[in-house]
Amino acid sequence: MLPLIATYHFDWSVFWAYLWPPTAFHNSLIASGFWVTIYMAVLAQTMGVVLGAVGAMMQMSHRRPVRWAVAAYILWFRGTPLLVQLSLLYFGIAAIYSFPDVHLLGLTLPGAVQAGIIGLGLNEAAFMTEIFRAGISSIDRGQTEAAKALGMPFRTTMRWVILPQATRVIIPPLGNEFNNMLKSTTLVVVIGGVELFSAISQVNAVLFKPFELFLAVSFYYLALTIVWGWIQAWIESRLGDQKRLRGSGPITRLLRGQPGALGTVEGARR
Amino acid sequence: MTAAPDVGREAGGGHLIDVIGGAPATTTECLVELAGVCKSFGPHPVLHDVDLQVLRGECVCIVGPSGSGKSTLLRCVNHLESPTSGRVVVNGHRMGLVEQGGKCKAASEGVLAKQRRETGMVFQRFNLFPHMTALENVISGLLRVQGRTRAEATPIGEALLARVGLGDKAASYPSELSGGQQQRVAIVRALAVRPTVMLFDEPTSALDPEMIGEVLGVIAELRADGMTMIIVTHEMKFARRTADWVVMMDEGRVVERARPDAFFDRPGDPRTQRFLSKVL
Repeated sequence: MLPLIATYHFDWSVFWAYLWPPTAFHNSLIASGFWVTIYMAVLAQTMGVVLGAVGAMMQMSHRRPVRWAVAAYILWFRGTPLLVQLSLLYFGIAAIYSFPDVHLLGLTLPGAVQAGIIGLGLNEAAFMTEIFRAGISSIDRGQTEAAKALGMPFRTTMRWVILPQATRVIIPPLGNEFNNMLKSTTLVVVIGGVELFSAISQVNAVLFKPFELFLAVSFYYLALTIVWGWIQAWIESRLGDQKRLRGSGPITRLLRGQPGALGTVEGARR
Repeated sequence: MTAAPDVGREAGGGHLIDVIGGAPATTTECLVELAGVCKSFGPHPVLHDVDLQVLRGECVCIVGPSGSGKSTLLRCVNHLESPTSGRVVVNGHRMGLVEQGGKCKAASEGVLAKQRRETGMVFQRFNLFPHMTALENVISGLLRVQGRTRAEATPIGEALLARVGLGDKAASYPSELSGGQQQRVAIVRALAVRPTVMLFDEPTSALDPEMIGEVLGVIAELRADGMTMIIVTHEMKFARRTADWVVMMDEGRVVERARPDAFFDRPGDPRTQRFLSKVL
């Protein structure tokens, strides 16, 4: 009878070599995979945020077909697995359009990575639409009415009155979405995008040290999400700190805002 | 109720309206006309066949018990609520409608936004933008509606704030201002874009008693400057002192429209008599 648990010789030298970026990045596959993971996450999240903002605006349309279209989009992208969506996008669409590699500013953007960014971004848009909608509807109706009474059209009201205040509500869940996004990029491996996880998998196919390599790579993702956690905490502390929001730089102007009811109710009681 | 001090006058000479350059009332032109206005929220009728005319330079105070449709009527004037039927004309514009080839059709949101620029509105709950300073609130219409530059708008905003005694509060956020101060900022915010008619929706109802006077003072000054105004209010002494006409509403109908002295001393309608006996 064979033993159910075999002894495994854990090769510390492989583990350390691949955990430590200066040595791991000697392997150009891993170095480029690491950067692909980061820019894929950033670009897909950006796409999700932009499309999500558009989706939330469309949801507020008084045209019913427009709202239905957004509802159907959200139903589909939240109700089906991301893995299936990516496969459908890359392999399914391949019948009519195959993503070509793009060479830009001396960098190559492989077709699979483009498809990954678009797939992740389209999926993220569904979730960001919901986050934007919740953020916008958290703003007191009196704000919209005051803007309307001044003669502001819808876009102006959104841009200058509602969104600056809703940002405060939107930022925390958006941060969590990006944390997820950093990890979801690994799914791009199924369509052949070479990011960090697929790079390590390819190394493993040669060395066959799965325990050491996958443990090492998990620390890379941990490092990315921890660093993002710090950035998120910093942004949120700036949002919470009224005095710091008095600056006039573009970022502070974007980030500042406070709940509509707070200012007026407190003022009335004073 | 408190006596209304002339808050604006403390800040220096001149009239509030001079800052924005308005014309004094000389004509008898009908600026606001409501004819047969009905409004229902779902199955609940709120306004029944309301008629109202306001001439240029007139101040009309609307009084009546809660739920009588006063605020809804005011909100129909600038189409924050669109009437179920009836006609609303503000300075020659059919609110909510555009004429195209002799036929009327519903105005788009963008056209409605332009039509609303005829009116300025002051809300019970102030509705200042909490992420903007007092000055930014005041000039928000100049910047985002009229498309003026910050360099053009800032002196206008500062002058308006100074006229209501808030020159030193330009950099304060609404949360740092008292209710009375917030409402004075809200008044000059609405005034900055030079509306032809000002609408006040219970402007002092959310204020502590000691702050009511400072806000009424600004409104009274605006009245003296010849601004056309419709004011929904519970301040009967103020209405008597300030209004050209007092309009009594009950259950969605205008039950009486009279000169203030006649209204308060010799009310004609039994519902007005009952209402006044409760509030005076």
